[in-house]
Amino acid sequence: MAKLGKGLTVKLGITTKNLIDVGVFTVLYIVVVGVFGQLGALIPILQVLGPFYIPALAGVVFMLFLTRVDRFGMVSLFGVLVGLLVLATGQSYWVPVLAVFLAPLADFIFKLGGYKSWPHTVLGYLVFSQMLIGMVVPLFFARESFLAKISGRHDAAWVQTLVDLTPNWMFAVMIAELALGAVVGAYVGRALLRKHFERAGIG
Amino acid sequence: MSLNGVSFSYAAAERDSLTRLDLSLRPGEFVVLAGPSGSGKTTLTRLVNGLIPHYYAGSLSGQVLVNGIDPSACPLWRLPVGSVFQNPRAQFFTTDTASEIAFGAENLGLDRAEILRRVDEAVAALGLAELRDRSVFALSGGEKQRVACASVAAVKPAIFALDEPSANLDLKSTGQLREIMAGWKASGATVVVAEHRLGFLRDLADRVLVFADGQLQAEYSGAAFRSLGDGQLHRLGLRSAWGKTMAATSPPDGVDCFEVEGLVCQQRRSQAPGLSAPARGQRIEIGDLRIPKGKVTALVGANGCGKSTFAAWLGGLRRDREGRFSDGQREWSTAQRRRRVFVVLQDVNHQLFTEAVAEEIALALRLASPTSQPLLSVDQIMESLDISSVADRHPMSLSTGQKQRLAIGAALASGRELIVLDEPSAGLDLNHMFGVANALRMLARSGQTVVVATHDTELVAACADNIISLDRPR
Amino acid sequence: MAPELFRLDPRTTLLLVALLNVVMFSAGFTAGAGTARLIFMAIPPVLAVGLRRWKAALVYLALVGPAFAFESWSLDTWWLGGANIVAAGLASLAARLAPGIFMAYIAVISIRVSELMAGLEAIHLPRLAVIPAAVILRFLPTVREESRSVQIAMNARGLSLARVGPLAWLEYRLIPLIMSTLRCGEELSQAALTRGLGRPVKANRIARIGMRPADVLTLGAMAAGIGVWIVG
Repeated sequence: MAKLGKGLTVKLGITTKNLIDVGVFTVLYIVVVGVFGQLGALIPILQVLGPFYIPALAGVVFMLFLTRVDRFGMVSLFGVLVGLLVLATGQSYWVPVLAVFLAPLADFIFKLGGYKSWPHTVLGYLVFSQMLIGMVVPLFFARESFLAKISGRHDAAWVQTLVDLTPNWMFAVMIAELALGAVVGAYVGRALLRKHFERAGIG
Repeated sequence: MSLNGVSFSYAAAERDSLTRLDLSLRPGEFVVLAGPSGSGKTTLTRLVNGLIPHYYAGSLSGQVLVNGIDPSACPLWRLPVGSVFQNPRAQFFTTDTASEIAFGAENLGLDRAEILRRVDEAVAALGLAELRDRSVFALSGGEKQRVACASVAAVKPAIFALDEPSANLDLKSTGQLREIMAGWKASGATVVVAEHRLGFLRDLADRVLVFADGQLQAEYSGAAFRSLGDGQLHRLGLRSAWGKTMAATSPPDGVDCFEVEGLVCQQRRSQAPGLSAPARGQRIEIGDLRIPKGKVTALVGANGCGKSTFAAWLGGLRRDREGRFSDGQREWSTAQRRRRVFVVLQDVNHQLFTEAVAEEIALALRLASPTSQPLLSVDQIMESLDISSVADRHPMSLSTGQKQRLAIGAALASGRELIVLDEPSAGLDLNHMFGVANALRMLARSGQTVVVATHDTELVAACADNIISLDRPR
Repeated sequence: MAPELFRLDPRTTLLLVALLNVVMFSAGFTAGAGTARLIFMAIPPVLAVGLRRWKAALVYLALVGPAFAFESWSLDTWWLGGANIVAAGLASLAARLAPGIFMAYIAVISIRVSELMAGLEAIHLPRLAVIPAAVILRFLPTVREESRSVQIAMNARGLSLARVGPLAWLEYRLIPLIMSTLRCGEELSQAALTRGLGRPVKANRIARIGMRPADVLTLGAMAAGIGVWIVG
C-alpha cells in the first residue's frame, strides 16, 4: 500500500502543495454544500430545489479549485474526499460510491480539455455534481424494507400514500436539476472569479 | 549564504521585486532587513528559505547559494533553513502544541526518542513549559508565535529566516520573541529577519540592510545603526527604533464625553478542537471611562487586557450585560451602538466586501443612515485618504496600509458618530502608519469621535489627543 | 484536555463513524436491526460526556430518544391512521440522520490532527490520503472561525439580508470567507513545506496512538451491535 502510494504520487506528479490545496478546497466545498444543504432540511420547498441551487452555489469554489489543478488525480481525490465527508456527516454511502466513478470521469474530461477549455470545464463539473444525487438515493430506494414491514398489516391505500410522497419520476427531476445547477454554477463561478478573485490576485 | 546579481519578479508583477542584488552573509551573522513595504525585504527572506522558486513562481536570475546549495536546484525540504512567518494564526499544521513543536523534527524522519529530546530542549530553551500540552486554538498570538519558533528550533536549522515575526505581537510578546532570537544568535545560527519594528532587534543586529524599491539602499553595522536617531530613521522611511512611554491622560472636566460605566466583559475563548475541555471564561473589568467627543482617543495596554473585547463591545457586537454606555445625555443600547458606532476590526481582510475601492466607499454611503447626512462624495473621501489612484482596484489586491485607509474611508462614509479601530497600524511601515494617523485625524476633524486600540507608540504620538490605559495596577 | 480514560485511537473513531452510518441507513425494521441501531446511537453521547460536552449530549438525547421511541412505537400501534406514515417516516429519518451528524461532530472535536496523521501513517495509507485528511481536520475549525469573523464584520457594517437583498448578501458572506480561508491555506502550506512536509522518509510521530481500554470497549460495543443486526 505504501509502495503503491509512493509510486502513484511520483507517476501523477502531485506535490505536497497540491495535496494541501485539495484538503483546503474539500473543506470549502463541503461547507458550502453542508450549510446550504441544511437549509433544505428546515424549509421543505428548498429540499426540492436543493439539487439545483447547491451545485449552483458551490460552483465558485469548484471553479476556483480548478485554477489550481493542472494534472490528473487532484479532482479525483477531491471527489472521493468529498464523498467520504458526506458519508461521515451522516448522509448515505451512495455519495462516496458514486464519487469513485464520477470524480475520475470528471477529472478525465477536464484533462481532455487541458484543464483550460471552457466546454470541458462545464461538462466536467456537470458530471462531478451528479454524485450529490447519492444524498437522496435512500429516500427513493431504502423505503423497500419500510414498505415490507407495513404492507403486511395495512391495506394497499396506506402504502400507496407513501409511494406517492416519493414518486420515482422525482428522482429523474433531481438529476436534471443537478445538471442545470452545475451549468449555472460553472457560469456563476466563472463570473465571480473574474469579478473578485482574478482582480484580487487569487486564482 | 550568498547572492550574486539576483533579480526576481513575481509571476503577475510588472516590475522586479529585487533588482541585481549582491550580498553575502557570514555564518552566525544576525542580519536585519529593513525598509518600507514592497521594498523587497520579504522577497529576500523567501529567496533564503526557498519559497522562491518552490512556492512563488516568477522569473529569477542570478545565483543564490544557501550553505553551498542552490535552492532552486533541490527540493524545499533539503534546505537547512527554518522559517517563521508574520501571521501566527495560520502557521500550524497540527492542533496541539506538543505535536506542533515536534512536527518539523518528525518530518526529518528522526527516531522517536530523539524527537522527544529535541522537543524538551526547545521547550526548555524557549521557556514554553506551561504551553506544552495545549490546544493551539486556545493560545494568544504571542504564545502561538513562540510555539512556531520552538517548532522551527527543534529542526535545528543552520539559518533562521523570519518575515515580520512581530507584526501581530504586543510589547511583552515582542520582548519574549527577542529573547528567543537572542538565544539563536548565541547558539551560532545565522539569523535573517525582515521587520518594520526595529526596537527589539536593535541590540541583536550585526548588520542592518535598508531596502528601497528592490535595491539595497543603505547598510549599517550594528553599532552604526544603534547610533541613528529617530530623525535619521524616518528619513530612511523606517519606524523608530526607540521605545516611547505612554502616560494615560484624563480629559479635562467640562469636555463633552461619551461615558462608559461599570463595564465587565466575559471573555469567551474559542473552543479547542482535539483538546476537548472548553477553556474557562475570563472576566475583564473595564470599569468607568470617558471618551471626549470629536477627538482621537488611544486605548492602550498589554494584549489580553481587553482592548479588542472592549472595541467589540463599543460597537454593539457583544452582549455583556454589565456596563452602560451613554453620550452624556442618553444611554445607548447594544442595538443602538450597532447602528451608531462603526468598528474597524483587527483583521481588515474580513471587512472589505466589494470588487473595487470606489464601490466599497459607495456601499458605505448607501448603508449610511439617512439621519446622518453624508458630508462627502466618494471621490472626496478617496482623495482625502490618498486612495484615488487605486479607485478601480480590488480591495484585496491592496497593501495592508491601503486596506486600512479604505476601511477608514468606509467609516468616514458611514457618517456614524463614534469610530472604533482595533490595531489599525499592525504590520505597517512608517509612511503607511502616518497615512493611517492622518486619516484618523481627518475623521476627528469631520466631527466624528475616534477610539483607537493600539500598542503602537508612534501611532499614538502621531494622532492621539487623549490616552486611556486599560492596564491596571495588580 | 480530555481525561485519558476516554481517549480513543483516531482509527477507532473513524471506524465508528463509518459503521454507525452504515447501520443507520441499512438497518431495516426487524427487532435485531432496532437493537443494533439502539446500541450505535448510544455510543456518541457516552463519548460526548467523556469529552465534557454535557450540553451537546443532552440535546442529542432529547432529540433522538423520543424520535426513535416514536418510530418504533407508532409502527406497532398504528394510532394516527394516514398521518401515521408521514409522522413515523419523519421520526425515522431524524433518528437515522442525527446520530451520524453528532458522531461526525464528536470525531472533529476529539481527533487531534497529529493523532490522525500518526494513525493513518501507521496503517500505511499513502501521503495522497494522509495529507489532505489532516488538512481537512485542521481546516474545519478554521473555516468556522473565519466564517464567524465575516459575520461579525457584516454586522458591524450593517450588511443585513434585509438591507442588501439575498444575492448581494450571499456574495458578501461567501467571497470574503473563501478568500480568507484560501489565504490561511497558503500560509499553512508555506509553514508546512518549510518544515519538511513532503520529505520522502517515513516520519516517526510522537502522538500517542494504539489500543487502550476505551478502544476495546468501543470496538466491543460495535461488534455486539453488528452481531445483533446479523443474527436478529
